[in-house]
Amino acid sequence: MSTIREQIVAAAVTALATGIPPGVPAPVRTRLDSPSTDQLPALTVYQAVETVDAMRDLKAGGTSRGPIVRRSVLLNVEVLTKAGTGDEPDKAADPILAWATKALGAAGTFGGLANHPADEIGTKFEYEQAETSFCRAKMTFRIQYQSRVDDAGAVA
Amino acid sequence: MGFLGETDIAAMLDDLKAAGGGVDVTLGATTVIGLLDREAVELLGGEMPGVVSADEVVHVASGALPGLASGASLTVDGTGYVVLKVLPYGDGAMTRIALRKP
Repeated sequence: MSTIREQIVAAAVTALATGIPPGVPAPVRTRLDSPSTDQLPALTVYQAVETVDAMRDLKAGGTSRGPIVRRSVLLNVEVLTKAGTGDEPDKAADPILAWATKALGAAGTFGGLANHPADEIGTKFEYEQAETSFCRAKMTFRIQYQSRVDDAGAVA
Repeated sequence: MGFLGETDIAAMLDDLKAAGGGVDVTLGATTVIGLLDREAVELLGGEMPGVVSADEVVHVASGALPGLASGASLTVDGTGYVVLKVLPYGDGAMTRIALRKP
């Protein structure tokens, strides 16, 4: 049995892999290998941080809690690009980032696993120069859901 | 025998080329001998593995290539590059030229 978190991440990868427009690479779940220059652009999806709110009853002194916890997972969608003919590397990343926003927006609640559609938090751009110019654009999405306090795989 | 100095650089580069260690570096109408270094580097690594790229650098005698500047087109061992950075080093007699593909 996998956690709801894992099911959400898998659903996000599926959403990004379904109906990909030309020029957008297939997503890789949690990349293990370093891509070489000729393997760019590259699109990677991985979970960054999850926080859990135990929802304690403060009116009762915070000693009691309900059977449900509220969870919030930050999902990173990372795009690696290189400069092309007439294209700066961040410009080359733009259609891929646009696709990520569209695909995860269309995924809604990931089949009822999440409380609501993913919130796009922001994108960080970083640059490096070697044989050409490279860009890493890391988008972060927040996905909130809930589970039973004693079972992270049970939708609550 | 005295210490080697700046005036010996040209002869040393000639010897290196004769031994197969030097390459032709051409900027405009000027061709000199340089030493090409190519090293694989990982860039933009973070939570996920980064990109493996080539860091390419050619070393030439300082002042040997008139007009050498960032953005100039350069041919190194028959391959076209653009000058990324011009970096004199040591006592300034040699210059490291960081390269990128056009």
